[in-house]
Amino acid sequence: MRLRIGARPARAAALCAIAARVFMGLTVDMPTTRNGAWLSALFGALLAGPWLAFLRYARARGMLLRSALLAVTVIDAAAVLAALARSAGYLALDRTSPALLAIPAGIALLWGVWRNGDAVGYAAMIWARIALALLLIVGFLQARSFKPAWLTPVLGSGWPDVLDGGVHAAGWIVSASGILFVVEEDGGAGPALGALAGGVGVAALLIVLAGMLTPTRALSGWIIRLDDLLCNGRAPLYLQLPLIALWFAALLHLLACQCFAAAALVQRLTGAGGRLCGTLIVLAALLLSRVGVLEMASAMLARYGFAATAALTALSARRKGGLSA
Amino acid sequence: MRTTGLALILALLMMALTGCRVSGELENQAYVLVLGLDREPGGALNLTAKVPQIGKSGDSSEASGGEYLLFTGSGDDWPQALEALEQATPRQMNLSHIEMLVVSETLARQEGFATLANRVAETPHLYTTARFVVCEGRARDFIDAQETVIGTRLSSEIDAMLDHYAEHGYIPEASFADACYAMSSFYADPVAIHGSLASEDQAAAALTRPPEMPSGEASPMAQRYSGAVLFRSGRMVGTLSPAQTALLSLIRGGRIALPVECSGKRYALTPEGAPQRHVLFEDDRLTLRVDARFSTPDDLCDADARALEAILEADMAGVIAACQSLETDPFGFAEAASGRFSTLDEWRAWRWDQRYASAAVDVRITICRS
Repeated sequence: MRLRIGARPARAAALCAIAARVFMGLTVDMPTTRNGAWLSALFGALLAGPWLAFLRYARARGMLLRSALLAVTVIDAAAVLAALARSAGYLALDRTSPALLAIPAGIALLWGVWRNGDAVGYAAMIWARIALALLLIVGFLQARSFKPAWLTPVLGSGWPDVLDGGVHAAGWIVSASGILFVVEEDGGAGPALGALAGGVGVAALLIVLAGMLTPTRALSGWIIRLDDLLCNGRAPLYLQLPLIALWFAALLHLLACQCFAAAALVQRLTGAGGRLCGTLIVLAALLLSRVGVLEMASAMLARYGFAATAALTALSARRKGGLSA
Repeated sequence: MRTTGLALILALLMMALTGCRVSGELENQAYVLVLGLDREPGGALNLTAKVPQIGKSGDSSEASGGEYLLFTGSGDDWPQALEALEQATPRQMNLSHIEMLVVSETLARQEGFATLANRVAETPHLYTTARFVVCEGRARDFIDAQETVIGTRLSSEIDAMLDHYAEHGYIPEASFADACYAMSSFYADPVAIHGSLASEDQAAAALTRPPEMPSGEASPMAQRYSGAVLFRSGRMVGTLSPAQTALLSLIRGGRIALPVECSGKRYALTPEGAPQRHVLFEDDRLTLRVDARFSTPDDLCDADARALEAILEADMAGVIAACQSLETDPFGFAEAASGRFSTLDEWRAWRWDQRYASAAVDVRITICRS
């Protein structure tokens, strides 16, 4: 079975994945102050935009480039899977092993990849509508709690941190947009840029909303920052259900998008069977998510991933006289 | 179609998985409704948890009629005390449904209270939206005296009672999360609800209303909630009376109807929208300004309107001055001022706390007939 996806579902999947990854990265993964995080998201889009447009236009076919994209996507998928397991561990009443908690997500991912790309993409399209409805409910019920004053000073801890966040955001955009490069239709760069603008726009808006619910302060741990996000001190208990549904479903769609993109990239590189590739990728992500150094690798990847892939893009273009050659 | 049906069935089955393990059963959980923190004379941290007994008829609702249990645990610090409390509780202690967090005044005034509060807030599953009360005397005694008066469940009783008091301005809107945010952020200082135990004599007297307000009937309640507790740099530094608390809540944006007496007549004043807080910068001189509009359905002549405005302006300026003297900003003027700075470092270097204490106050009230 050849893994394939249409341009429209791929765009929807990429939009959801970019929104989820940039939002998670800048609110929970990065332990810096949050005021300027929405600016970081926009700066990340500015960095990644030209790269994405060029690569989509040139239809990334270089072996080296595809391998780099595959590596970036799999490592980040493993980091997201580890985050999903940690989130489940946070919510679980008892102390179940994170490895066990990651298995249901792995099964869901396998199922998604086995149903092929359009299932992943159209699921993301349906999810986008449900997420919007849930966000409207949450926003409406928490409307009185939003404090715009908490978004000031606008730059937070200053330009260096905003730019650093932007570089990270560009790395996360690269790792979440792999699905755009396995589309076989020749749609040009426009749809890819549309997905990027939409995804980053949604992420920036959500960061602003989250910033108006909790003030800027230093929080020490990943779980504590997640707790701060889901139970912002104002959310009544019943509101935590839509908030948690939003969090888990967004991560699952992001993972489905990344695993499918990685499996399709493996198939393009090796010509192996689609379901086998999907199974291998999900297993690789599950195994990698249990590796202790993953967190460090993921942080390094976020910081340097964009620069590395951009450099490889330039190198491939020069050596082959064009990426589609 | 078959796949969709199968997926739906699996999704529905998953809803039953939450209680599938013995440790996840409702009866195996001890849901803490009120958590108290005391500092013992020897320095140990003492925790008191109030837990409802599950209904004897087998229903899963919270116990009715005062069937609550108290568990205590002590330790040198928060993790140790929590561990001791876990050991004292014969079920899995669950902090996700806490309604109220009570801290003794002695502990709230101690150095390092902010650090402790943050440790508490960072405890997994602890529901930080709980109300934050600082009580006179021991928190354990305060919690022990708590029982349902009108309702059947303590959890809804606490909510209804404190909502009622906050709507009238006797106490501030104060969640534990908001207090911790304020302690660890760069904006306003936190506030808490002030609680005290009524003595037996007081209990027989008018307790449902604070002293400055019109007196109510005798109350069977063993505690009273009135006024606000002020903090500076994460430590309690003073209190506000219920009347001052109503004005504080108003300035913070609460919609509280104020009864004000003028020329021997009592007027009911209702705020028209939230009061506007401004911080004016003029040649290094800072002015804290509040603009507020009130309306009243009562007949009001121009002279009385001006007199009422003057009374309210003086009262509000007095509350702000009282807080300035304690160098605490529970109003959120810092939030209005921080917008002028582009980075947090610039904001901190400007030393808001010092400038705030010596700032001029300008309150402008407008009263009109509705």
